[in-house]
Amino acid sequence: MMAYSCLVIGSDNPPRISKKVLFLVEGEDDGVFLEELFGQLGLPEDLIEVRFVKGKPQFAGYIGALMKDPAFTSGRLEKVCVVVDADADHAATSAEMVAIFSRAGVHDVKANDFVTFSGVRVGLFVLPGDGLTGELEDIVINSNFDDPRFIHARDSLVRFQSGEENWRKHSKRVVQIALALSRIELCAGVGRGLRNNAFNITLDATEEFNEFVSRFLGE
Amino acid sequence: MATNYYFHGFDIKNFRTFDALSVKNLKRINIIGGLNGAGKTTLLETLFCALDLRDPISLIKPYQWRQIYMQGEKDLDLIFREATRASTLSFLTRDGTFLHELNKKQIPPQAISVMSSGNSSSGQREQYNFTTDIGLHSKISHNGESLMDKYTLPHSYGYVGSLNMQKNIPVASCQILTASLRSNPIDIANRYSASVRSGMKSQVLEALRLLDSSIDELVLLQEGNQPNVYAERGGGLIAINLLGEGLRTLLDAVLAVSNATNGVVLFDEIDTPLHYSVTAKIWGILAIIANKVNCQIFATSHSREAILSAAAGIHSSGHEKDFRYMRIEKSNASHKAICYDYVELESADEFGFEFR
Repeated sequence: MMAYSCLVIGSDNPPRISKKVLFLVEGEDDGVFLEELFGQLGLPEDLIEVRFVKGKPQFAGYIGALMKDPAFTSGRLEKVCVVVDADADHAATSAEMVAIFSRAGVHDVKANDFVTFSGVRVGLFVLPGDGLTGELEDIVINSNFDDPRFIHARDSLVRFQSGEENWRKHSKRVVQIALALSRIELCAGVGRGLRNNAFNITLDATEEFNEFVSRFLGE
Repeated sequence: MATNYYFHGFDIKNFRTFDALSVKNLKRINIIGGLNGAGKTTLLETLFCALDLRDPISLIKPYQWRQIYMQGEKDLDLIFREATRASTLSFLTRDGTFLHELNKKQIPPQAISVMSSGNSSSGQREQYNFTTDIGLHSKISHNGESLMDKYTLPHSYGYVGSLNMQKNIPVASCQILTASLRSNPIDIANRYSASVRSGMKSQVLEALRLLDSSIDELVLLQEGNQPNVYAERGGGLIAINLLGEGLRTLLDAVLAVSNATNGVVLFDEIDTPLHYSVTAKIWGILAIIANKVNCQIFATSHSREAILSAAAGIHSSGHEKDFRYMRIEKSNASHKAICYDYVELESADEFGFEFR
């Protein structure tokens, strides 16, 4: 597994980009999740850095600033990829991210693909991929479908949910209940759940992303 | 008036440390950052040379400021990134485009004859002992029309130049302030007098009071042949030269800007003696004065705090659109300028990215 290296943003601790490949995600737990996944894929730690931007609205400012960082402008950084959850609408999220890239001057970026900008490979992946809606939690739920904790979590939500009610963030709630039923240190997200061995994910569940990463990191 | 400042862009090729450096969309206040040796000071000196048109040895001057003793034909190579190629400096200004083409070549006999009978900078007629006829030729054109030829030739202990002007056009005034190039007491007195006349006295005092709130007034006294500026504090007078380095630097900077009507002021790391807590306010005052007199400012800095303070001060003065920060980046032999507006710099700071 990769060592924990997801950095906190902010001027109190200006992070210097030191690796050749940078993956950007929305939240800290997303970053931990990605690091664990990269560990499972056997990707070398000294190649990839994962950073989080504290929420989707921050991507615009973050990407703009990143593209002026000496690591980017000097070509020291070779590849940058943004990984976001599709949430409820894969197409809308993709369009939103493409617009953010475009404002930063990077045109022609498409979801689950990459382009070259100023000599740097710039990619975008909208999870879970293949035009599907969803979040990281859905990958975990699908990987652990028959796990009793996840069965109980789904049943509990159904029991306390009235017929017409469609609770927001349903998948997150299922994972939180499953984590609460796990004999591990308390944690609220899939990334730390994975890191603390509360559950596993199968590489089949992230097949399209794995294939994208392989292409993105390739020559 | 908002974009009526002097320089709008430049394109430098094969000049001094720069193989090539091009910047467009300059603003009224341009802060320049970058690593040591990136070429920040050289860029200021290049802009100064662009306006120092009528001095035939303007390209030698910056070396004198840096106390680099140049001598002979070989040392002229320092002016070129690669001495075997010509240099070109193109400046896009509010008055049109100026192109300087620099070559090391044989100087025509007529130009040498002018130099032989010319006057030295001290006004004395001097006879020069030329050891070569290879010198520096600067051909300067304005909007494609030939403006002047400048020739610089080494003699036994320095350089002498001549100027062949084909067209006379007005150029903007320019002042450069560095740690070693400071105004003398007479210049300070003259500039303070001019500031009082042009209604800038209150801004000058306001700036000085940021560093010393006990200053009541600045007083100009004629002592013999020399005018001197004194600060009046609690009824007593103290000579400007006895004030701290920060106050003298600040006074010099504020007077330079307030006297540069339609001109350009270049500051080389003048923030060093100034405490960070006041630099934002100082930049706010400089932005207001620069707007009032239509002055353009270029200032170098290494300090993250100073760069951010300049941005914050200019923003709070309501002139954030006048602000630009550019980081000069050098990799191997090539240079580029990474430019930030106020919002981009704010984002870089917020997310902790390097921008110096």
